[in-house]
Amino acid sequence: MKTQSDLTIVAKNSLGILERILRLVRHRRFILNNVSAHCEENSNAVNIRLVVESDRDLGNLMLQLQKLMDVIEVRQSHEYQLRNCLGYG
Amino acid sequence: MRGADFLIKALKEHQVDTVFGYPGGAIMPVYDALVDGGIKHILCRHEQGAVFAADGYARASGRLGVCIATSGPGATNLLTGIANAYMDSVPLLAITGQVNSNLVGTDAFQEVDIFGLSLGVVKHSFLITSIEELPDAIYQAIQIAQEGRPGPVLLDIAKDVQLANIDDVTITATNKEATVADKTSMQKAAKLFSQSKKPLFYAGGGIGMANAEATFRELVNTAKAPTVTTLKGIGALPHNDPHNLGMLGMHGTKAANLAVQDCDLLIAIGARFDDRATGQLNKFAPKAKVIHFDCDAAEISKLRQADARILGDLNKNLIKFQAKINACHNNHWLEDCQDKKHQHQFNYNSATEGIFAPALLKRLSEMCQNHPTIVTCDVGQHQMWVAQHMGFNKISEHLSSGGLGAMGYGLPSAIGAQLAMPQHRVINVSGDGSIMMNIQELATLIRYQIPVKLLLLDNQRLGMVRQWQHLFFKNRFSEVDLSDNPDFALVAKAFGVVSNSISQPSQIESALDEFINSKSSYLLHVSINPDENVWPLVPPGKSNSEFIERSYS
Repeated sequence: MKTQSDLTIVAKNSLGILERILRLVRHRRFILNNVSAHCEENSNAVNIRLVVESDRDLGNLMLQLQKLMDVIEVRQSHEYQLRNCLGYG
Repeated sequence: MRGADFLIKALKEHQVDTVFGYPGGAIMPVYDALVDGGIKHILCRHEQGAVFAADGYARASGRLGVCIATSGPGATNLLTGIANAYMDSVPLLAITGQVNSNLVGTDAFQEVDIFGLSLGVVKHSFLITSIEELPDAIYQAIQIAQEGRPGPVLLDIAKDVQLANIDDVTITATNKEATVADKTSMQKAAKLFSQSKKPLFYAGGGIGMANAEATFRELVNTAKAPTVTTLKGIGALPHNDPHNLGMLGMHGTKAANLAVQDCDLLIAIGARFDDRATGQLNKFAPKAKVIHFDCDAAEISKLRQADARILGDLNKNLIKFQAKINACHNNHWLEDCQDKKHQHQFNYNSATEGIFAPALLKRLSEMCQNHPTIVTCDVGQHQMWVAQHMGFNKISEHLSSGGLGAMGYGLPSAIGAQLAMPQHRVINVSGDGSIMMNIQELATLIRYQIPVKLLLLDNQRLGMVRQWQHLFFKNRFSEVDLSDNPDFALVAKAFGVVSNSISQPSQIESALDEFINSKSSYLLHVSINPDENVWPLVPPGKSNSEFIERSYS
């Protein structure tokens, strides 16, 4: 069953951080439905919001993301199952 | 001092005494710094040889392996070796030169985006385009490669940064305090153990990486439970330890696979439920609850849900666990497993003519017991025969490309292992397919007088591919015939390596004796029958209880 999830990631704004995150999401077989990123003023951090979808375990994706050296925090902000609202399944 | 001098000085300060590499345009300042930098540089004859040698150095010694290459083709040639270190969690620092920072992104000569190319196979990476970033990146790279679950780190340094001036400062990489599991998880694990009638240890390479062999052995002796090992976990228990049932998985022992299918508690330690170990995952250890010890949170419950997750430093957690348990209360379980091990011993009689590789390797292993010996493998049938038929007493005595399965690993990793452990006997067991992937490293053996012994099992075939074509593709043999191989003994001689060639069982004893006692590098070429295959075998996607036995094509 495919599940869509909303993740918020706070990371150090280092070289290639967005590439690292997006590569990992693709490799772990999650589809990216939405992405936005913005840097905080006077801060070295970047806030990234991802909407991902997969039948794989989201918890493991979050742990894999957390392992990236420059990722500070990974939070799940909202989740709903697509099967009912969009007819997936 | 220049950035390049700073780099070499920092490596030296972190006890790096040997590096492996190949020079080129964009890394020339680093090679200039190496001239009087006080570090030994080993010139391999291909960058892939250099990175595998650094990997072998790291695995044999437990220290950081370092390799150096230039930009462009030098860097891309490292990639397979970086991926190998990533899959097998080897502490590796790969240093590459990059074109001048003002040329990065202009498709300059020998420019390749190695930072981008390597993202999927590194633990972390740095592209350094200004001298101010260099010190911190070096120290972080050294630390990250070794802490927690080790892995490869890429340090890509623009040439102008290597030449730029920098003040001589000393910063030392510090290791973070290792974490230990919480009390509740540990209590839950101990309770699962005390309730279990058939507990089984599933020991992986993480035990070696964490330097936790001794604590693991104490735990097994306290628990009095049988143990199966992964390919990388071979040596976690001495090969003749009564608890050791051997390797599990696709080419595992029957006793090991039967025990896994029968156990009611599987205690995974530094292992990651790889498909070659588990076979069909939903039929793996079907009756078992799982305790999973690992230092990587993302490995626990990744493929098999753990009933107790024990996260953190293996040494500390194994000691805590041992203190909480008593010996398994069901004596019959270990005895049953041992009986099965006895019943299903390997058969060393071949139905075919000529030298039978498993028997030869068993004999070699017996003859090597008098002196600490490290065996490195390439990939294929010979690799599985080594895992099955040679006995190891430490994880670091058996170096095999496990996760990546990279042919060509054996000879260069043996070079690295021998340089790290000069008092050991180092043997590379290879096949006629694999040896050709990095045969140029015979020149490295001679240049540095490295006494690596090379046992070449030659069936004139890509044997493992041929075995699968026999079993799963109706004997439609496709591109596996290597009967036009060169005369390997002559090739070795052309490089200056002493060699011998045998083809009859009666020659084995004296040939092996000369081989293992040779003071110099030595290639022993052994002709074996192409119809011999690796048994038992669990077909891909099948349960580990569905192994198939010997058949000939």
